Parts: sequence; C-alpha cells; structure tokens
Amino acid sequence: MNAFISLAINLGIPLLIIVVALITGSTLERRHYRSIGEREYKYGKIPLLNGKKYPKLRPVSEARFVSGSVVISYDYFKRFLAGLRMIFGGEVKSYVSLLDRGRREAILRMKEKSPDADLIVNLRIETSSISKGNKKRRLGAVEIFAYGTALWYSAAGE
Amino acid sequence: MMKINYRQPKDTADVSSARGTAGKELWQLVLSAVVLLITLYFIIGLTVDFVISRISFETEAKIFKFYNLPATKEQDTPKQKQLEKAAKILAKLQSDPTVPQLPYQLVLIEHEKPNAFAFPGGTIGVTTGLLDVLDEEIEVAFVLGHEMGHFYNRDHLHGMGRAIGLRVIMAIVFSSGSGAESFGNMIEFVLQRGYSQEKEKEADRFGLELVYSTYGKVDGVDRLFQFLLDEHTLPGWAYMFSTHPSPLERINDLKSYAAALRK
Repeated sequence: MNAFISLAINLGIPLLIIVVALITGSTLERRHYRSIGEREYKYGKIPLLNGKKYPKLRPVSEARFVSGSVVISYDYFKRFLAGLRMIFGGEVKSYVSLLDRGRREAILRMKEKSPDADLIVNLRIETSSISKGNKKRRLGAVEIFAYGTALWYSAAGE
Repeated sequence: MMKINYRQPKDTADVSSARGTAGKELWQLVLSAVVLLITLYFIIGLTVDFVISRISFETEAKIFKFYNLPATKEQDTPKQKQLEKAAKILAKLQSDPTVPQLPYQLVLIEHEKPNAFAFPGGTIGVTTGLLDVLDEEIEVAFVLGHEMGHFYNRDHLHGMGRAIGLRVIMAIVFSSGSGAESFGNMIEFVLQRGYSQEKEKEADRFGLELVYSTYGKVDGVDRLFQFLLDEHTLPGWAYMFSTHPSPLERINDLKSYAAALRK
C-alpha cells in the first residue's frame, strides 16, 4: 500500500492542483476578457488623456477625481509556468495577460465612476505587488490602481 | 488647439501578447525541464559511478565504520536465537569468493513487515518480521545473498550518491518556490524508480547464484516473494512507481534464471 500512498502524494496531488488551476484559471480569464471587451466598447466614447492639458472646446462645468482599482491573484498554474520560465529565461507570458487584464479592468472601473464624463485627463496607472508569507508558500497578488480627472463641459450655448 | 472627434470605436484594442498561449507555453517549458533534468540526472549518475569505481571495498569499510553498531546482546530470547542462526548462514555465504570482503554484521530491526537492508560498510539489517516469515536456511540465505548483491554492485553507494546529487540539483534548479519544485519531484520520482527496480533484479540474480554455489540447490529462494504475493494485492501497474519490482515479476525472474543456472 506504501507505493500507492507515495504515488498519490508525489504525483497525484500537485498534478491535480495544476490541472484544476489550469481549468478554473483559463475559464475565468476567458470570461474576464469577454467582459473587458464588452465594457471597453461601452465606454469607448470617453477619451482618456494622460497629459495635463486638454482641449478647451467649451468652459468646463465640473471636474472630479475618479479612480478604479483591482487586485488580481495568479493561480497555481500561472505560478507553475512562471516558475519553469525562471529556469530558462524569456518572457513570462503567464503573467503578461494577468497584468494586462488588471490594467484594463482598473481603467474600466475608473470610467464606470463617471460614465457620462466628456473626457478623463491626467490619467495615471500604478502597480504594486502584494505578497505575504514565507518564500515557499507566498500569497501573490497585484494591485493596479488607475486614477485621473474627469471633466464635464458646460452644455452648448451656455 | 487640441480637438476631439467623438466616435464609437469599432473594436477594442487588444494589446496583450499572451492571450491564449498557455498551452504552447506549458508544453515548451515542461519539455525543456524534462530534458534538462534527465540530462543532469545522467551526468550525476556518471559522476557518481566514476567516483565509486575508485573506492575499494577496504576504503568503503573504513569510511562507513560508524555504521557498524555494537550488536544488541539480549540473552537467549527467541529472536536472538533466530538472529544467531542467520549470522551463521551469513558466515557460510561469506566464504564464497564472489562475495566482496567487507566486515559483515547483522542487525535486528524491530518491525513486523518482512524486509532487509544493506547499509554502507557491510551492515545488513533484517526485520523481526522477516525472521518470522522465513524458516528454511536457503530462504534466509537468499535474502542475505540479495543484500550482498547490493554490496557487490555498490548499489547502496550509488543510491546514496544519486540521492545527494539529485537533492542538490533540485535545490538549485527549483528553488524559486514556484510550485515547479513539485514538478521536479515528479520527474525525480519516476527516474529513481526505474533505476532502482533494475538494481533489485541484479541483486536477486547475485543472491540466486550465491545460494546455488553455496548450497548446490535453489529450492525455496522465492519464499519471501510468495509471502508478499499472498499478503499484498496491489494492481500490477502500481509497481511502475515502486522501488522494487512486483513479487510476481521477481518470482518469474528467479525461475527463469534458476533454469538457466541448472543447465
């Protein structure tokens, strides 16, 4: 029976976790990208400028600070790929899509705070990693924070 | 003067370079890691083999002196009598010229499962369970002969060297704490099993030859395996992951080898 138990522990459990993480992780990622695509289309009309200057089409009637943030964690499968990548080097692709999702989600959440704004200026995106625990079993997540100033022009003819 | 044309975009800008590449990434990386580990494993194996081929039996006995524990002297317990009987068999086998000249010593291990171990330096450990299962002289002689086969092939040293080498490499390569170390363990596990099963079969053959040349017969050598066969009901495929071949395989192997010996 010993062979069975050590087989289960040494091969089964890590393999199972990786497969489960692969299935859940890629399902969530696919869903997230679909939602991102739909909402980016919905809010596509609000221009984003990362400069401080903006076109003075009409007098500005309202300016408000808007922000959006998101915390995304990697899954066991992404960590597994990244771990292997660290042996050979190269682009850590499993994390690229994670950060891409995070940035786009944060911007969308920011836009959702001001869905009727005419434009958002002085856009900034900041990233910070959250890690807790010892080296071996570390909780890994990344926070992405997007902020800017939403502007509303006064109505035409005022 | 800046100007804005408000327009509904046709599509969103999809800038990620990594969407949907997980599958390709997985196979590339896993394949590279497997190739890397197998290469390293063979390099370790060759290095260990080379080093061990330079260590004579005398040197081995000297290096591993500390393994030679003082024999436990219990007076006239039935176990002690059994052990003394086994020690006599050991002395008989030792006179064979093929047996490597090491300061052999028997140690009793209190455990109900029948098993025997070869420790570096010539110490052979037998469990109390083993002495309970085996009655005939030839049955015990084969088990001791099998362990001497390990000494002859230096399996205990090879095993030790490989285990140390692999541990070091695992620590260096998979130290990232990424979950990838469990993947390394998987490969190590499979590699070690295949190597170990081959060595067990070689030791079985050595034991058989030794029993044959000492006693002139080989009836009953497979008693232990018959017992294990009756005791355990693991499915055949499970032995792919075991350090030892299945008892049935070992019995069949012994039979065919014994037939070849008698010719």
